[in-house]
Amino acid sequence: MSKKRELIYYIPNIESNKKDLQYVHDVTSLTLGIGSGILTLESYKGFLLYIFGYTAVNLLFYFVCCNKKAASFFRKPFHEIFLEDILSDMPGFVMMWCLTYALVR
Amino acid sequence: MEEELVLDPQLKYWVLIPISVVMVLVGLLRSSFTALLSPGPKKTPYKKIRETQFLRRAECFRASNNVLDVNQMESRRNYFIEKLNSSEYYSEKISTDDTPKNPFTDSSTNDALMSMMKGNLLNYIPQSLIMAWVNFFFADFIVMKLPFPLTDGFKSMLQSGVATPDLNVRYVSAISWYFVNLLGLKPIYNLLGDNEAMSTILAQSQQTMPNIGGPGAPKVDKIFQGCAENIKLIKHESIFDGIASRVIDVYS
Repeated sequence: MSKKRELIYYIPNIESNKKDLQYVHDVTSLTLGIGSGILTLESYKGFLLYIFGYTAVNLLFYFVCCNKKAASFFRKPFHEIFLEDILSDMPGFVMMWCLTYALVR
Repeated sequence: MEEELVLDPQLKYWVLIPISVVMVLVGLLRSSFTALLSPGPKKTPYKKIRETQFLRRAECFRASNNVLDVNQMESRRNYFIEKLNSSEYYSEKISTDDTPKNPFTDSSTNDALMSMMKGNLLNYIPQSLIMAWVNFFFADFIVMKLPFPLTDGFKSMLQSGVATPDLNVRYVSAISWYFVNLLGLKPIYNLLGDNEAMSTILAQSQQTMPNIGGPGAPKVDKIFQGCAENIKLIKHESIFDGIASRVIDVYS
C-alpha cells in the first residue's frame, strides 16, 4: 500500500527549487569561464574543464543541497540537475572564457 | 608552430569592455521597458466566468455525489439536467451558423498579437542598433584571439573587413565579440535582473496561446449537453446505504 503512494508536488516550491538550481548553474558556468580564462586553457581543455567542473558542482548540489533526496525537490531530478542546462549554460561559459582569456594574455 | 600576433592591450579596455557593458545595460533597459509596456492582467467578462464555474460545479457533482442521500441526489440531478439543457448559464448567445469567425476581427486576439509584436520589436530594435554601432565604430581590425579553434567557414563572418585571407580564424574582429555576448549574457541577466526578462517572455507566451486557439474550440452548448447526459447516466451509490449495519459490524 505505502509503496504505491503517489508523490504530490506543490508547484510554487518546485519552481523555487528550480530557481535556486538555476542560480547555482549560472554562477558555476560564469566562474568556470573566468577560471579557464585565467588558466589560459585552449580549445578542448577549456570545454573539458567546463564539463567536469559543472558535473562536480552538480554532484555537490545533489549530495549537499538535496541531501541525496533530489526526487522530493524536483520532478525529474537527474535530468534537471545534470543534463538539462549543461548546453544552454555553455555560451555564458564561453563568453567569460573569451573575455578573461583576452584580458589575461 | 604558428605565428602569434601581438595585439595592443589598449584594445581590451576600449573595445571589449565597452561592448559588454553596453550590451548588459541595454538588456536591462529592455527588460524594464517590456515590464512597463506590458498591459496588466485582462478582465474576463463575468458571464464567461459564470459559465466555466457552473460547468465545474456540475463536474464536481458528478465526481463526488456519493456523499448525498437519495432525495438530495435526485433534486440536484434534476436541477443540473434542467440548467445544463437551458441556455441560462451561456456566456453569449449561440449563433446557428457554423462559419468560423475571422480571428482578426476578435479584439482579444488583436491585443495578443499586438503585445507579441511589441515584445518582438523590443527584442530586435536594440540588437540591430548595437550591431550597427559595433560595425560603425569597431570595424576593420582584429580585437581578440579566441581560446578555441574554429573552422574556416566562420572566416567571412568573424573576420569581416579584415583583408588578410590567410589569417588564423582564431583572431576575430569586434562583431564576433558582439555575437559571443549576444549568446552568452543570459546568466548575467539572470543574476542581475532576477529573471525579469525571462518571466515577461513567459507571461507573453501564456497570454497569447488561449486567444489564438479560440475558433477551433468546441461550442459551449455541446459541452453542456454532454455534461447533462453524463449526469443522467450517474449510477448513484450513497455512502449512507446500510451505514447502521456497517457501523455495528465494526464495533461489535
